[in-house]
Amino acid sequence: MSAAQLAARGRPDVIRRAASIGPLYVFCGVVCLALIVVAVVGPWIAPHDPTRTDVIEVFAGSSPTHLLGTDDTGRDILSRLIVGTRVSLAGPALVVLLSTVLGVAVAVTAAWLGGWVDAALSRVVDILFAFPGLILAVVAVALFGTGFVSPVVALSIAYVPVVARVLRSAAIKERNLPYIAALRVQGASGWSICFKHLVPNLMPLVVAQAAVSFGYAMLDLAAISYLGLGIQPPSPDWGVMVAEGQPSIINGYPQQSLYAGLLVVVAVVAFNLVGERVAQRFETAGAR
Amino acid sequence: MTSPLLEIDRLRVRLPVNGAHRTVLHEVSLSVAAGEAVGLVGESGSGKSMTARAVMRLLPPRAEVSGDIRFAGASVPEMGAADLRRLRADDVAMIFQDPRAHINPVHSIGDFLTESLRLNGKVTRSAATARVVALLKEVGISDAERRLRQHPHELSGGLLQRVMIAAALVAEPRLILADEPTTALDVTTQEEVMAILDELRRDRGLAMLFITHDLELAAAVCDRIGVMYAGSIVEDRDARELHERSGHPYTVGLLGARPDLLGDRAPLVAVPGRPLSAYEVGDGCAFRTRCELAQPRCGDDVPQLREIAGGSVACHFAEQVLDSRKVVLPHD
Repeated sequence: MSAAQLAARGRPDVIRRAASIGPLYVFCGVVCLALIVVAVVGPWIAPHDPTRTDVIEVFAGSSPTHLLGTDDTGRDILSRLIVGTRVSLAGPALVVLLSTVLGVAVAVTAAWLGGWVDAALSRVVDILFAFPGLILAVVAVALFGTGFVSPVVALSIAYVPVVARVLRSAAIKERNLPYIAALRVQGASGWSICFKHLVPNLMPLVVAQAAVSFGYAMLDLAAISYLGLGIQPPSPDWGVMVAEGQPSIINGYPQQSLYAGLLVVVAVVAFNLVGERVAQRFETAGAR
Repeated sequence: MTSPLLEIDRLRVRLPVNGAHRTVLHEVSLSVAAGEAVGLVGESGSGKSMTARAVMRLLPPRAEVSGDIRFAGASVPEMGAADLRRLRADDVAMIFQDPRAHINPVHSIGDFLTESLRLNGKVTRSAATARVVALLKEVGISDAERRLRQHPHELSGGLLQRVMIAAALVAEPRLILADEPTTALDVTTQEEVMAILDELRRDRGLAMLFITHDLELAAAVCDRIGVMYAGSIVEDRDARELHERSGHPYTVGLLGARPDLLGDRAPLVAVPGRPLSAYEVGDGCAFRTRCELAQPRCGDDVPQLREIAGGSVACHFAEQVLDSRKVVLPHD
């Protein structure tokens, strides 16, 4: 028995489980949860109005009134980051939700029907896979205009192949398990087998894939905002804030870009690690 | 004579293997009357399970099937999706060798058992549960209510197989296909599970196609036995007569190759050689390479099943085998 296991004995269940998952992943999980909470309650906990300008207090450093200082128009950076959490997380969340629903549908259809349906869907997925999400988003913005919706929809479509590829092979493996044959022999229809057995049994992998995609989607959306193609200022979005704070870096006031950029990095890393850990668990559980 | 419940007529199955098609069933003809239990006995790979899977249309995609399978007069290979579903849901149930692999591990036993009822029978949840509880009691699971909340991994293999049997009976089918239902269990559990299955089957007057490699077991629970070798049925005979009047050298060999706990300790007689796969069989009798009686004629003339001494045997020398079994039972 290892030292960690020994230390874990006799402690309450929550702590023991946390110890078995690993402190890094627990920390990441806490960060993810905290971000989600902030996204929900942001407007109420922000110390200042995120859009209120103050010409006297431009580029203020950290102080008790402005913990992270102010930007070029005297807006409180901390408040803008807090309020911006919602839109910064909602974008990736929507991308993940849409791409997961579509990806699962494609993967399960291909795996279940097999044959030419599988071949056709797989080719489409391969073709789509060749387009980077950012390019697709830029094209979508060019066609449908800047804002929240078009980059999100474009990225959702761009993320479908990633989800579909991973889940298709898992769904084929699941579909070939004897219990599926047993269900068919009981006279269950394809629909009910897929919805009540196949998809639910794939859920751990779906969730893991979603968490990993979430990190990437956040990065992509931040990049799109940074390029000025997504959320438009003065709405406080992290990507927008990095872009807005850029000119001030040369003037010696890096705080806005720095804090916003850091927050993007922290959020992406946290969601990615949690996702990978869940995926790992799923794999070991599958190997049993 | 009324037409049998299940009639397999010259069934031939070829499966795709590495691009080519391999024969797994040569020409299987078999019938099961309503309420009758028919055993299908043979070595691994002789095509027993494949026959059962063909009846349920569970063969791999791109399998080539010829011949006919009729259930209550309706041709199974020609059934449309709706009829096939009705056949699977209402008329024929299957019990598998490994219950653990054939039950969704994520669902509770209760969900597993009531699912088909709720899907096909349009029964309320509570009515379905009541019926399932009663069934579980019949298969010898006393604390049924507790079991319903448990998951497959919490049950032993024997219990799980009883759950499987209950699941097979839940839809009140007319025919049960039991594919080595006790092979994966301990010997003692085996006996219990088999006794339960046998009793419930008799009570309900269900027909059963019982697949096993255990000739003894088959003879105990079946009315009639078909012996399979390399994708063909070589002998089909009343179970009680098989011991005394087997007409195929392979059946005789199988009977000799089992230990006798009560009799004297005569050395076990193995059937010499290795079992042939169906695709390896060229012209002639599949068993000739292992047969003591083999003559040049067996090499190019495939023996057909023919009526002899109250059963059917596919051997040119069936009369000889029936006359004197010593010929093929060499005690050194």
